[in-house]
Amino acid sequence: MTKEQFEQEVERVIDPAFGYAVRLSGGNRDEAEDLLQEAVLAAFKGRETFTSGTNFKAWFFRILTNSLYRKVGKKQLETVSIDADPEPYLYMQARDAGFSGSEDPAELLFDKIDGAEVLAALDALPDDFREVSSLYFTGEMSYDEIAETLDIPVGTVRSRLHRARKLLQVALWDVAVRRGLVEDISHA
Amino acid sequence: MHEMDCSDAVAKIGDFLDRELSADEIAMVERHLAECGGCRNAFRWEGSVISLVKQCAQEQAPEGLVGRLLDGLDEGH
Ligand SMILES: [Zn+2]
Repeated sequence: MTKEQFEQEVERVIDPAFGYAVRLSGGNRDEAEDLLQEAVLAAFKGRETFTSGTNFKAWFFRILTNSLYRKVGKKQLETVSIDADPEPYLYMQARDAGFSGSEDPAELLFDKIDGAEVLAALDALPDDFREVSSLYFTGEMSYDEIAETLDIPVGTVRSRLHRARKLLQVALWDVAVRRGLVEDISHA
Repeated sequence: MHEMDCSDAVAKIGDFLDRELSADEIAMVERHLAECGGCRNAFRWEGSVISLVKQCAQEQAPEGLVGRLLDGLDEGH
């Protein structure tokens, strides 16, 4: 890959790469920039290992992920007690709280939840779940691309992502209850 | 072809919303949703959560970032 091709590829993925780096850095944008800088240097140095015609984004995001763990070390996945049932948690909580279920959930709850609270919930996920979720939510990646980036089976991506989404829903419902949104609506 | 019940449909909710199902499976889920208001609601809530998080997590690289990152890349490295 020539320097020019490398630059074009980086430019093409810069927004999702920055988003992913921000999440890996727990929301710290300066750290995200440093992390990206390291990854760009490492990727450029190792550009001969990239096979042309394959997925540059997955290759680069893998280097980005490794740059982080070289710095901070990777925490082992905590044992998260969450059942794998794919039940739609928020919907069921809402129904139990007295919503009919046919309301527009965005209008009802989500528009009233602060973006910062959503991101806090994302950043609070255990490492392995946060990694997969960040690639999915900010990296705009398919299951296959995530699997390639993290070098794990697609089935693992699927189960981590589905569990992560459930954890996020538990956290968001918690926010809604704490902020009194649920009570306001069910008594309205 | 086998028809889905609610628990089959709900088991496919994540893959359906992520477009990770085969065309046959999509058609089966859609047939169930057309008949079942409860599952339609559940799918809508689930989809809303995903959009909410995607929207909040979307980032735009700061002005000039690419330039700073690529500055000083040395052909000789
Ligand atoms: Zn149903």
